[in-house]
Amino acid sequence: MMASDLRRPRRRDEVRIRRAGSETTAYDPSSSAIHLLNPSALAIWELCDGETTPYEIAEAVSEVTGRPIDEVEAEVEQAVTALEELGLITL
Amino acid sequence: MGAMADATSVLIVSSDEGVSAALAAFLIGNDGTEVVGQASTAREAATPSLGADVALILPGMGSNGELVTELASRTAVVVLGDPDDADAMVEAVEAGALAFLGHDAPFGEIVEAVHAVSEGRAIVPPQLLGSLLRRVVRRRRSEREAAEQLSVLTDREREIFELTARGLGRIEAAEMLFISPHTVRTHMQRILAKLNLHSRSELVAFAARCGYEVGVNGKDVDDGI
Repeated sequence: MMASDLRRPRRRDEVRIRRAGSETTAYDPSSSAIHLLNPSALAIWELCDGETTPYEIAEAVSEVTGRPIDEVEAEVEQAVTALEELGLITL
Repeated sequence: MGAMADATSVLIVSSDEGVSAALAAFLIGNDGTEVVGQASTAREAATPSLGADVALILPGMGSNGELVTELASRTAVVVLGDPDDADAMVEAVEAGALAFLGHDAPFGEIVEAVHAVSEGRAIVPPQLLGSLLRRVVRRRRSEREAAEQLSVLTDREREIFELTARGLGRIEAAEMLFISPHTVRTHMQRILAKLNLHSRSELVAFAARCGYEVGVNGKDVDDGI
């Protein structure tokens, strides 16, 4: 992932988020699948607004957590890939 | 008080002496932490001699963004505040705090946060992560866009832009740059035209959005630019 990465992942509007205490589930009515999202995955999913690139997300995570951007980029990339494979976002 | 090897030193910042004393007593009695000072005002807290690994800012003082930023420049900061005030939490983190805990957090949780931030780890309440990241993305994007706009300025114009944003008047800026106030005025007019701004105050607001340090107007400021 680099700053020149122009992908702008977009969350699928039909996915429904339910919060119950500290747990968050994402329900995909097209597949009837329910996915459990941890806080980081939920935060990244929410940032997939069709305008924000994965690199911008990684920069923000790096700033908020104080962790090096190199370390964070790989994790954000994994999260974006996983969300796409689960059908929760489109790239 | 004997210094313990590897103990995390803590500066407690609080205007409430009772709460400060109670927390200090707990931290002193806890293996791994020691209290190196208690400050009841922002001025006391900013005293450089109060070197500490962690500054623990208790409720009432964490909303002072300048205090948080000042302390965060030289130590790790934990802020305690209203757990329902999402804006306050986000602002504290954006000001440089590495952790924000509710004011009713158990002492054990406070100690864990102290150790975590002393190791450079941030603690962000999970329910806030999304809104905090969104704000950071928006702010960074705005700064990037503004930086692109500033790229049209010459080096000298950039210098004058920065001095003006900091609140210097024409004469002060001229003295600092060894040029005449008339020349500063000419540059300012060009800067405003290039950035499509119409006044000094618009320039200052624009500079703030760019992430520049802005200040109150100096003594010789007038909006005749």
